[in-house]
Amino acid sequence: MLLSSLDKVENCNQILLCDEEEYRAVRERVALINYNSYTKLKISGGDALDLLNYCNLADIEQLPVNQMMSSFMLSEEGAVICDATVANFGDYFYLFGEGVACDKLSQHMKACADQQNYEVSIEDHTQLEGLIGVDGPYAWELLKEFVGMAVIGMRYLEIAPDTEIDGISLNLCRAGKSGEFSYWLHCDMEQFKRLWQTLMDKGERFDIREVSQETIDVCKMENRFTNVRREAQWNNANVLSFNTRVMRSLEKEDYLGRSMVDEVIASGLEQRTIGLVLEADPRDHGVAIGDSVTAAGETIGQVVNLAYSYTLNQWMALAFINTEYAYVGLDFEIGDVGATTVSCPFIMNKSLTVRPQEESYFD
Amino acid sequence: MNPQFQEKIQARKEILDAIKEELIDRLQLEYEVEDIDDDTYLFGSGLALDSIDAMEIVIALQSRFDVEVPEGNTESLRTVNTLADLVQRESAH
Repeated sequence: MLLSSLDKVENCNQILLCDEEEYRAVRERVALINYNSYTKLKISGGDALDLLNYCNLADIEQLPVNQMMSSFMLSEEGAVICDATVANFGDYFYLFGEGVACDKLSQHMKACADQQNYEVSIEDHTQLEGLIGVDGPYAWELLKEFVGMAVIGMRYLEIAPDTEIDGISLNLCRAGKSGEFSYWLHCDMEQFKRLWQTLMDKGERFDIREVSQETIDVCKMENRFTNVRREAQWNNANVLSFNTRVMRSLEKEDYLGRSMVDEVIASGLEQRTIGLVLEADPRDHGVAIGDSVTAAGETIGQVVNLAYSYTLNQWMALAFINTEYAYVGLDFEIGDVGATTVSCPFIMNKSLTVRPQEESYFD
Repeated sequence: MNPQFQEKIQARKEILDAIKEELIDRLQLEYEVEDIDDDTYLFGSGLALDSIDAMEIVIALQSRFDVEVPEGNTESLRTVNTLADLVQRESAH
């Protein structure tokens, strides 16, 4: 059975307020994140590429070997069902999914393969393999101590397969959504604990910290990466509401949800996501995710995510806003709290000012 | 719509559209203006531009809006919206 956008692993309506020390580790030092909950599907066979292309918004045919592509898997209605990062390892692909249970995603892929008569093998490696995130403006420097200067030259979404750290074989990927230098370490689950401890031990000098999903969610939001678990649940929103037009390919053949994507493009998008900063603490005013956004008394949208930014020292929100109002520099209200639309990303990342060839955490 | 909103939106939209036109023309992007969302990242996972393209953007802002991008100002070169912020800020001076 194919998935719909309502099959997400959880719908999170809580305001995001993360631990400040964890946040500072991501934004100023080095942080470790356990991504073992991500679904990991190994997909091989003659039609593996066609299957992945059919299930994704982006054009996977454009994905070179040893590269990753970040996109969304869509329902038949054109709504987002999960975050999908596809990795091309040459003979096979990996699909890393976030926001939907691994068994459901696996079944969905199998249903798509059956529907399209694709010859593929889909193996669920979620319990067999671990995934560690290493994020922060000095994440590269910690990894350099294990793998040398090559880590500095890795481009975003590049994979260094069969890399070794302390005798542990893993795939090192330049991936992540904190907006800082971010890497994924993909290894056998049996080696996960030892790899984690090795990184923590070596990372002590960098004041490394393990951080929670909430902290990463705040960082994702500051950098305006769509959070499927939190933002994609509202009104069965079309994927284009998340400002994803450049992600779709005009050359690609049919894909799941395409008819609804094309229909929205033809008829015009009703609402799209925009960032706002709030003038007051929403908790003091009973403001919550799901509340209406108003412009001079007229309802023009709905809050879909709400978090505190320690960099801004301010509360920030994402809202679906009627497209005619979805512009920067406008003063709206959420309940009785003033909220101004702003450009995204919300913050300037420290990593953009760090030059790995010349700088060090220890300077 | 309230006329105050209308005025602000019109001014912003004109700048955004002009920036998108410049990006499409100068960088020969295979997009229409309406294909590029205002918060689209210029580099990385968005339009996937590179450092040569960044120099073209700096030149475009100068010739179209008479706006100079200060050296090292990576903050403005992130999305179409951050470019528009810079243009509006500098035009107001």
